[in-house]
Amino acid sequence: MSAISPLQTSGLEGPGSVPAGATASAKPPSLLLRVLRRPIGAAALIVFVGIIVACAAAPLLAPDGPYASSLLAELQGPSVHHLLGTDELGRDILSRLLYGGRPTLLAAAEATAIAIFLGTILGVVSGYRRGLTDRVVSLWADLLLTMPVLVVLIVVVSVYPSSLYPAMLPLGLMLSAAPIRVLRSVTLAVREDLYIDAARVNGLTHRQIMIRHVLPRIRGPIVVQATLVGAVSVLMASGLAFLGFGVQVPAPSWGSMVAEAASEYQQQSWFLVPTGGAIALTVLSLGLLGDVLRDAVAEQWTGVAPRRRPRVKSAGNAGSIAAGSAEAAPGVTLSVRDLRVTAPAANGTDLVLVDGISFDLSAGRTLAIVGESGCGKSVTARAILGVAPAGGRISGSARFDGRELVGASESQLRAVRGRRIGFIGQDPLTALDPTQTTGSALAEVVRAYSGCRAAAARGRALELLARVRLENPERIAGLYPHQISGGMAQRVTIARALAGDPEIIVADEPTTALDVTVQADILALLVSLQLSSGIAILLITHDWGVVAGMADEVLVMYAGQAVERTAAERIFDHPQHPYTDLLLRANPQRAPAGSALPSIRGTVPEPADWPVGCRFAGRCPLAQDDCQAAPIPMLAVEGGHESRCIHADQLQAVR
Amino acid sequence: MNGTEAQPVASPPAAKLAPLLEVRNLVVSFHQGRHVFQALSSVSLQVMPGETLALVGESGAGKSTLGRAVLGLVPVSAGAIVFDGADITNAGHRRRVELARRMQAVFQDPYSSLNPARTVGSALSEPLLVQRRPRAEIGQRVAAMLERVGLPEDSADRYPRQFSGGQRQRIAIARALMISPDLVICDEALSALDLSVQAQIINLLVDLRRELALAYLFIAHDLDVVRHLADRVVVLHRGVVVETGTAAQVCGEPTETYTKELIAAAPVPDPRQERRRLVARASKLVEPE
Repeated sequence: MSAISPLQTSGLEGPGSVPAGATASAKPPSLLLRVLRRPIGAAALIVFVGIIVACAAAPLLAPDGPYASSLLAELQGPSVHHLLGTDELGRDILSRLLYGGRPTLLAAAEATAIAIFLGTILGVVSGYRRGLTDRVVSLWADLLLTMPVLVVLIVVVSVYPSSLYPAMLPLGLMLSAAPIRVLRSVTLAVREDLYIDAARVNGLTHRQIMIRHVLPRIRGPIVVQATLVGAVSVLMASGLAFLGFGVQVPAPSWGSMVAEAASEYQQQSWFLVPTGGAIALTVLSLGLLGDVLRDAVAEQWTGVAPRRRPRVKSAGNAGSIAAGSAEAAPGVTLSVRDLRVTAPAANGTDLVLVDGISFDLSAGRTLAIVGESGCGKSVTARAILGVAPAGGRISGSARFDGRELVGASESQLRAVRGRRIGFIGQDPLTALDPTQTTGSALAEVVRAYSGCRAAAARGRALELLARVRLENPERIAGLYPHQISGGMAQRVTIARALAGDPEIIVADEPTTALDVTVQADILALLVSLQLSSGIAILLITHDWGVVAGMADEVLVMYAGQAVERTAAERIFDHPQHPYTDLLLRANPQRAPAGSALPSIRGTVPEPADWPVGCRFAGRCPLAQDDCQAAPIPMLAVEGGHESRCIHADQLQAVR
Repeated sequence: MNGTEAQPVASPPAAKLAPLLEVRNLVVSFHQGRHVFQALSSVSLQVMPGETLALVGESGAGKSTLGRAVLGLVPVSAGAIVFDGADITNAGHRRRVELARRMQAVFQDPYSSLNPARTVGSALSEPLLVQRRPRAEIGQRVAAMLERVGLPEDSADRYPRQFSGGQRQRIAIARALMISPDLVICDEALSALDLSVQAQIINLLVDLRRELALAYLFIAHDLDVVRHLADRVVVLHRGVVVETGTAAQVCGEPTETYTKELIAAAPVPDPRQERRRLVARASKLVEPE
């Protein structure tokens, strides 16, 4: 499973934020349905559309005409005859609100349309073309932001006093600054995507690319900007009317009604509630609608429905382990039994991501966990450190040096995590803080672990950098992560993992992002650390070459389960599970050049689709009816070799 | 693809044939503030019709830059790019539209190479829309191509997010082959894939090459894949060609030191041999300096 991507606030979800292998059978529901599915979205949409429809249909809905006054019923509160009461001339407030919403909302719509139209065109063009265009447009947006909005508007309404609409033109223009800047920055990001390159290779013009590729991609931010600008426009249009501009008494408008209510405040304070409330309700529903729309638009591509994230917690292991489950053998540093990790699915049920993993790791040894993406390798590694996916639960047992890590408190875990079990991830550059020099980042970690003084921590940081064979540690310590190469950065993360003098290092694909020559150096470094200090390594990898060099023991994972476990020498020559066998043979190094490679048909199924019986049966050439009947247990083959296959004896025949 | 459209099987590249793609003394420089960084310094290579030429090297060697320069995605500082006898070094837009019919690309990241906001069908029809083919033909072609790369029929109406990485790479390959190009530039097209999926895609690329007489400019860093797939190999190092030869020569008996290092660094899936090599390297580090 890939790491959880950080939520992006712009409403633009990166294309890579989907876990590998994400599939869904059904067509995604329409945008409207996705908005309505969220309670807040449904409420906001109903309120907003309700207000618009009611105002548009004012002649049909309003109980009275906008000017019908009854001098006998002035400034009344709500009653059966006048649901929202009457104003100072005895006119029905509800009727006037409905009629008064028309000029207000129409004016706001005019300003919004102008702002979004200009904002989209200028933002997209400047983000896409960059260079001089971008500089000119950005300058223009800055200029707009410096304009005194109210002064400009008052000048315009003084020239055209009879209507709000002329003033909406400059308002839309000035409000376009925010959409220009936001849409420019999202376009800058989208422009780097490879499908833009593919479109250029296909000979699309820049205009076609902007229309076909950029616009649909940034629909979310455009919609969000529209709702924000819309809300501001409603406020501005009402504000102008409140000040008496652009309306002709006695014609109703929301702003002028608030002004009337304000002047009658002493006699009837209720008058303010419906008039101010109409404006507040419209603005609020627009704002909420914008939030929900942004999420709903992103969901279409990412398939991730947002949900509340419960605090990550580990379930206690009480009852989940059979009594008398194997105690760790002597000399074993880490003993994992029946480790399970679950995470909540979109429909509220719990998905099992890791299903009953068991292994032992002894000092100075390396256990490699191998498998394709989506099989639960990384989830397993993180679970040992007490880190579960969002909202997930860890159960089972992981005993380290006599203490139980599963269900341990956060403070107990902190005493182990990093200090006694170090972690190295795949991407060293995202693992390091770009704002800190490598030396100060390391010293900070050292101080957190040992509580020593700053000078001592700095000395220890230099020692660590020397220990990971960085030449000239003092120079490296003064550099920021972006100033060093990927290989150097990975050495710095190894130094950080060593800061607490750990007994175990969990290395999750530590060389996948590196060049082969750098990989060779990093692997040699890990082995040398192991030889000199007896560190145990839990290595997550999908590269058989790395397994061959590093591993003493191999655990092959498929669809959340261990399917095979044995010594490294045996796995290459005598795989006892068809998955391992096919994975080994899919490596082009083992096949004659140009021949068809044995490949595994299909892909790893999603956790929700894991079958009851053998999980590999759907892709397995040896599968028979009995494979799918019931769960297959791990079966002992010989010499401690275990396999989750009941037809492993036929493997040799097929080869 | 249906059988009637299949083109004759590619014959092995003969010396007499004119190269399909020729890159002569190509220089590409990038300006980073006041610094000028030369990504490619005078690189020359040739791709014959129906040939698979692999371009290998480590990150920063300039291999992707070369592919992008050929595709017109980065400006060329000096040198020439010749496609089928015509100079395309700084081809204008109209020329690029013509070239798109003969030269296509498959990129590394199957997530970023498909627009998440557009359906698969719309991604596949794009190359044909630019060439102004009739709608009916486009629809048929999309269906045929999806079937050829092994995707379900209903894929055209679905969004990229509903597909796995391997399936997305199939979609990207299908998009590149929609207008039957002569040359496909594969820029690290396999490196984001799992081993079993990588094998599927390698097989697909090999089959398509045979059926459609395609030439590949195959940009990669994995020498095992290159040895398996390529006819000839060009090794790039810091923007310079260090070695050229047949795949068997370069991967089996390299002559240049850099190529030897590159091959020696790649781990082999044999625990006895690989463990011995790694421990030997590691023990050099353990000894006190």
